[in-house]
Amino acid sequence: MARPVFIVDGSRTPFLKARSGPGPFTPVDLAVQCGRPLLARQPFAPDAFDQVILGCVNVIADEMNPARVAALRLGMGEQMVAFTVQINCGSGMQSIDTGYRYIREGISDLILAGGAEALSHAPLVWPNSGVRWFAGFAGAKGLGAKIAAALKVKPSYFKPIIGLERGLTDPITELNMGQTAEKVGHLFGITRAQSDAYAAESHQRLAKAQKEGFLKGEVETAFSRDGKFYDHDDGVRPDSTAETLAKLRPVFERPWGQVTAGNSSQITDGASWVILASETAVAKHGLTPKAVILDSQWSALDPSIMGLGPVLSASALLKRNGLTLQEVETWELNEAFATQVLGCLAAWNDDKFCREILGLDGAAGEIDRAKLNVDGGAISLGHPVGTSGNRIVLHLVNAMKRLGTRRGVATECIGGGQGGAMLIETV
Amino acid sequence: MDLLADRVLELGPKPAADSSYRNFKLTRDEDGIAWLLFDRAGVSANTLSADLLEELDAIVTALESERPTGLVVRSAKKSGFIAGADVNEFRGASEPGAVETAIGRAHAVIDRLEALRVPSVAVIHGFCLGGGLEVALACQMRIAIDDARFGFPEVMLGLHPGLGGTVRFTELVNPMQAMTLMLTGKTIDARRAKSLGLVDAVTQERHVRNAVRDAVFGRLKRAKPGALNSLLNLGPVRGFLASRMRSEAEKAAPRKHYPAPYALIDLWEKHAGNRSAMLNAEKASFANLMVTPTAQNLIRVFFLREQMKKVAGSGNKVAHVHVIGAGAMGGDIAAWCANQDMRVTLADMKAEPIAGAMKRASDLFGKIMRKKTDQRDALDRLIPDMDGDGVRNADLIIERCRKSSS
Repeated sequence: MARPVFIVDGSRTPFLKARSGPGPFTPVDLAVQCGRPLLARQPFAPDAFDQVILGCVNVIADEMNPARVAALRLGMGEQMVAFTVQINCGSGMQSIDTGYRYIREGISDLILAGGAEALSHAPLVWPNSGVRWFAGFAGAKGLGAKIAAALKVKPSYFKPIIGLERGLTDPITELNMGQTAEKVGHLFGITRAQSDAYAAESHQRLAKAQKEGFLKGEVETAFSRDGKFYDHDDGVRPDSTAETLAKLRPVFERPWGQVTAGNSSQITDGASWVILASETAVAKHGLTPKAVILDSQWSALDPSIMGLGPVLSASALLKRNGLTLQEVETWELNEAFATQVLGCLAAWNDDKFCREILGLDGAAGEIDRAKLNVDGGAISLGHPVGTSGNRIVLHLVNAMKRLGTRRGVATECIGGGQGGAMLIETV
Repeated sequence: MDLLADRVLELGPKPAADSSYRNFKLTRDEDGIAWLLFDRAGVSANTLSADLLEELDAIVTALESERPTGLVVRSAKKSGFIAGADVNEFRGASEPGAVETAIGRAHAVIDRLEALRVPSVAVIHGFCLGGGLEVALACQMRIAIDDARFGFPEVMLGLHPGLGGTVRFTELVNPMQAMTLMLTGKTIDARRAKSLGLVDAVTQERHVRNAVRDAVFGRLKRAKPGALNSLLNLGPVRGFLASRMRSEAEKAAPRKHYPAPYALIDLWEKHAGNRSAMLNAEKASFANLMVTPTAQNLIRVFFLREQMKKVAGSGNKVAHVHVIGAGAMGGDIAAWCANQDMRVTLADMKAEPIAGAMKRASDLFGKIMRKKTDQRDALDRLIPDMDGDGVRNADLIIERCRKSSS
């Protein structure tokens, strides 16, 4: 018997744009920074959870299974089961989805599900040729052999590869994520001007949300050891306009591409948690549910057009629940690239695409921009890949509570050619 | 897990239930190694008292007559090795002669332990202080467990080591370092003890059996006293170093009020290098210090502090402290609590003072904690709380008193 699964609370760190060098926090540091105030405001002790699930893509060597490291550092007790999940850009939602299924099936009652990512800590990787040379050198016995091994060195062995760049390149098609957005834009006739206008609005929406205090209770100030504090998403540029963004040069496909640094999501560090509870846990601890998770869906497609993932997963999700696009009142569709978001909207409005790919009777229709990413998104906030899926669910809940809407979908495209979507209702 | 707690210490073979000793357990393992466990009756930490030393004397006699292949000396108490002498026996001493007679008897026991003709090894966990360290120094080898701490805190009681420590410590360890430790009363950890040559090895409980076997059968790599030690213990060098030590001591503790450091420096300057003379002089000097008003007053303060600790320790355990106000005082109280293993929520409406407090805490933990993971864990326990949420689950709430002019 399926049991209802509630989202009772959640919090995240400010999203911190990667500037020069590693940021102040590792993935687990970030998870601890926003987890501590979240746990402190609960009426139950941190060890009351049944398990901890954390999405994280770029796990650093010091923090293998970051979920467990975070659970212990959060004082959740030695007996806290904790595991890390990874489905690339959907990891933070996969943690919620996994927890949702454990609770729904009656195995767990209270789960902390999150996402954590510190892209600024992505390592520099030595070329394999260099690693092989070093292994030969280190293994050489005797002075003569050592010198002989040392002499084989070539300068190219020390040319580091930026790990992040590799991570953002699809290993099957060898396309960079930005290039997949270019491709989606081309397929649906998205223009540079449209992308820039979308991006500028993302910044303006986030700036407004920050100014109006819409993020209070969601974003928890982070404090670093050197006495600094971080209290807001610092990638926001309120002065961005379509005109200023139009001056930027394309970064992925020069010189004629349309995807620029300004209309792409930012490289960012951040973590996010939501607390999932069964009816039993709600009653036991006297919790106030904010929303209930109704369903979720993962879909997959050609990796070279991964940006359309949300269209596939959200459409399948709505179909199963007998809902139309228009019946969803609030949308969070992760802004990997402005061009990609606009491509998704265009696909839903494309009669042929909807008939042949989604199996609908015709175009699914428009999503009103007023319902979509109401307080900005990854273009203005940044996209810590393992965290974003968690953030959009958390923010969807908070935004719906504020707007007084009932039904919402959070969905994201996933590098590698997948999409994830989650249907929730406020309670 | 608590279930396994009793198995943590490696104490050799299981002792018979009807031990013939009150304060000790004595067993022999399959290699013929004797395990002598200090286990003072009725208390949770070992201290050296007259009756315990008397019993030790009888044990040494027994070991002399039926010699084992080796001897392990360690504590059966979880709390540590030996915390020092039983300070109760120092209270109210007024007659130097009587003190010297008593300390002479104790010396004889320690000397006999040292003279035992079997390989002896002290295995040390937790605190190993004062008289406890002097027992360890009477063994031929010392193996420290990771958590061991060593020191001679006698100077805090207006005394100096009195059970041969001034002699054996300065012989084994660079005398400048040894004297500094005895003059300041500071404690050191196992790693530092190893680098000084005070212990031969540092290991974990799980390796104690193997380490002991290696020690007894001559396979343990010994810490060697540096070549410099004997040089620094030479007469003319001592004279120069001693005057330097005196001027340093004068800055911290004037001779008029604190005679102990100067007595220790004199002892070393006059007698180092001549073992029996220094041992004898140590007894007399120790007895003289014991009856000074300084020592007796400091001993009284020691007992007051112990009593206060007991009172503080008897209440409910505070696991979560909520500190309101992250200013200089609030922040420092919060850092102190986090250092004491408590969960602390540090509440302030503004981020700036909390950030400042976090930096001060981070700097403090960096100074007082050697391990990066300990620093991290203490900082993790110190939770910034801008919404005052910590108050609902706190066991104790501390609100900073504001200075008010009205």
